[in-house]
Amino acid sequence: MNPENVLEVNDLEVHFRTLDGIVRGINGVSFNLRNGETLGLVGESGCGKSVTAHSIMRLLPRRISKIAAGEIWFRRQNGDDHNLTTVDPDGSLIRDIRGNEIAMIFQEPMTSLSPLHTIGDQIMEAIMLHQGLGKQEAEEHAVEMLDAVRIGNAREFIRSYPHQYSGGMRQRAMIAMALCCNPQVLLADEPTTALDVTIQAQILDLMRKLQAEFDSAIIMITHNLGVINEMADRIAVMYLGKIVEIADRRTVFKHPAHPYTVGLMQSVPEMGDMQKTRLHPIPGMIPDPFNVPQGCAFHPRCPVKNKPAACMDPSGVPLVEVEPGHMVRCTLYAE
Amino acid sequence: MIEANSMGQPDHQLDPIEKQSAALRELYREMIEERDAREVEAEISKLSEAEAQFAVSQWTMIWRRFRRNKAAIAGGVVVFLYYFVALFADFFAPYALDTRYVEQAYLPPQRVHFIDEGKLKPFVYQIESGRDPETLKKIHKTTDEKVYLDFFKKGDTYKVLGLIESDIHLFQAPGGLVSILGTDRQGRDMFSRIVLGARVSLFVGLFGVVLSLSFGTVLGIASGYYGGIVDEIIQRLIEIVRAFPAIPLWMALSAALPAGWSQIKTYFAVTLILSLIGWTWLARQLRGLVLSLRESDYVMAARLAGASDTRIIFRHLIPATLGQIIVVATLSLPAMILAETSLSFLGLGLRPPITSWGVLLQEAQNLQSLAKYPWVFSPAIVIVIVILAFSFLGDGLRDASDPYTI
Repeated sequence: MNPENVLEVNDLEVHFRTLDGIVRGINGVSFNLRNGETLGLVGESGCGKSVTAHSIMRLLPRRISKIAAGEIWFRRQNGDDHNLTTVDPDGSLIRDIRGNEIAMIFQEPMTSLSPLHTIGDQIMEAIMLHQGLGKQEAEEHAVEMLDAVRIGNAREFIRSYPHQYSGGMRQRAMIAMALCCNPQVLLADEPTTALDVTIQAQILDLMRKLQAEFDSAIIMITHNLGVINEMADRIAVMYLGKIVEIADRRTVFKHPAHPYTVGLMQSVPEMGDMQKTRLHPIPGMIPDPFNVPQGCAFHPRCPVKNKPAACMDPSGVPLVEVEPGHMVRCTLYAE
Repeated sequence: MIEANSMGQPDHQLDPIEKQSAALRELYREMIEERDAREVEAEISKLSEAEAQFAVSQWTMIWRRFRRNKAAIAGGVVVFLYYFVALFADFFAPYALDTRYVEQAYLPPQRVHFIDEGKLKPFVYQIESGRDPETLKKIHKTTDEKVYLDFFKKGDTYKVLGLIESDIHLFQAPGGLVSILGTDRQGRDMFSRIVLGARVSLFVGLFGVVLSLSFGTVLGIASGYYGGIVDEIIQRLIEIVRAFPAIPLWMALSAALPAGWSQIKTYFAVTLILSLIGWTWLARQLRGLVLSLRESDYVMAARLAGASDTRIIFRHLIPATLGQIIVVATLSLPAMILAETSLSFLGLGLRPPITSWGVLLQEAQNLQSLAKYPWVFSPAIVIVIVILAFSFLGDGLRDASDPYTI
């Protein structure tokens, strides 16, 4: 593993068995996560963003899905590298890593917290499990964490139940829980989607501050491009189980190279745009997951005229580096 | 590098990537401007068409899911066969209910030989019965004489489904007796009696379940939907019914049946008694379901649209709980069959000359038969098989009835 990276995903493929056949949820995803950076993962619903996160955590439903190919390399705090795809999903190794070195913030703060236990108990559980602290110390630490996520009067709120918290507070409690063990990698799966914009801004602000403080790397999954623009250092764009473009944030927003990314950026209304311009949605629709087009999965919707035959090549289109740090999967840039 | 074909931007000091990006943006813009509203509309309708193809109906999903459960399919086939045989019982049974072969009382099951001198020609050996001169015990001796089975031959007359007179039976043994499950104390063929008894036993269940489903559905949904005092009354009623010890209650109720009633009347009275007790389970389940469903947004939407309570119940709540109702039905059918059997076994339900499986078992109710003539217990095996089949079928339906979970 490259010493700069904390996580490397290589050619990951995840298959789902459904009643109608096998769906390739992820079809060859590769990316690196550098120490302390924020990587935004964007794409339409169903393109495989959450599946990627769940495969890193090894939390995919076992009966119906399997990692068919690829590697997920992760550097532990003690410096050991592990390929998470070969780890027993119920074993002690992955359980040591989960919640401790890789943590996850879920989308639904309401359903992700147990209504039967106090917020404090739920935060302390992870601390006691992973850090080996006693009850007293764990409680101290939990109070600190709640303080850190700006829950006022944390010492009292630690004894409250989730229903006594507001939506924003619950989301902040989730973040406190995810960060309480100082994870190197934080997977944030739509962490602000359920919240209103003011709280959203607060939460993002908070995540950034905590990231600086704890030096975690974040994978930010969302389809909210505004959030991505706010948070991400680099952005990976996914379409139908493949990454079609990775670049730093500025590049993706200013001059995206893949036709899909261009379309994605154009379909977002711009704040303060005084001209009454029409939005330009991407024509067509996401293909049926059972009949993914051969070659570049985007070619039926691609606006480029006189497409080269390579677009339909069943072996797929390779990801090429068009400028330093800017990878695109498109025949327009094939050498 | 291939240029995207477009007008392109005037190239200042743009690097090729930026140029390409701007060109692509322009392509999208052109594409949108070229399309007029009608085209967009056509595309949207195409989209929903494709979606409709992709989204199969709930029933298709239930069937697909059910089909994967082999045990449930097997259960379903067995249940279907039982009811089919019961429906045309007179045809499948070689003898009528009361055809006696007094000489051949307590005859053990006969072996049917299928191959005779290299040809497929089923036969049984003729039985010679007599008594042991010393002990006077009945003895049956197999002779060498062959009795060939005839298929689709005339025998005792009966009415198909009580309507059409006929005398064709599936198989007969002209000139002898064929008894694949042996005979009882009075020399009656057990196989014929089990097949004919299935009619009563299986349809008591069906009729009883229909009755208790109607009670359960109406009371359960009313209880859940209206809540308040209605709920209170129905729930207390359920508790009272459930608090009665079942067997003494059956005894009391069937003792109350006038002895002079005809067979048919007793039969319906027994099913009525069974269903009066059996509805509480379904009512409780449906109440719970409806309690959560009536708070759901689509019920609220229906109410906002001005739908009446009746309409909401019949259009929205009953279809939504239909899966549950079907499952409860298949799972309570065996319970009904068992209840009838136990009632009749205790002598509280049906009595001879009506023949049901319970009645057959009651006749075998002593140690002597268990020791010497174990074949008179064959109705028990028949019951076990059908109850298991119902349970497999019900389990499969329950798993399939909610096709949206994996």
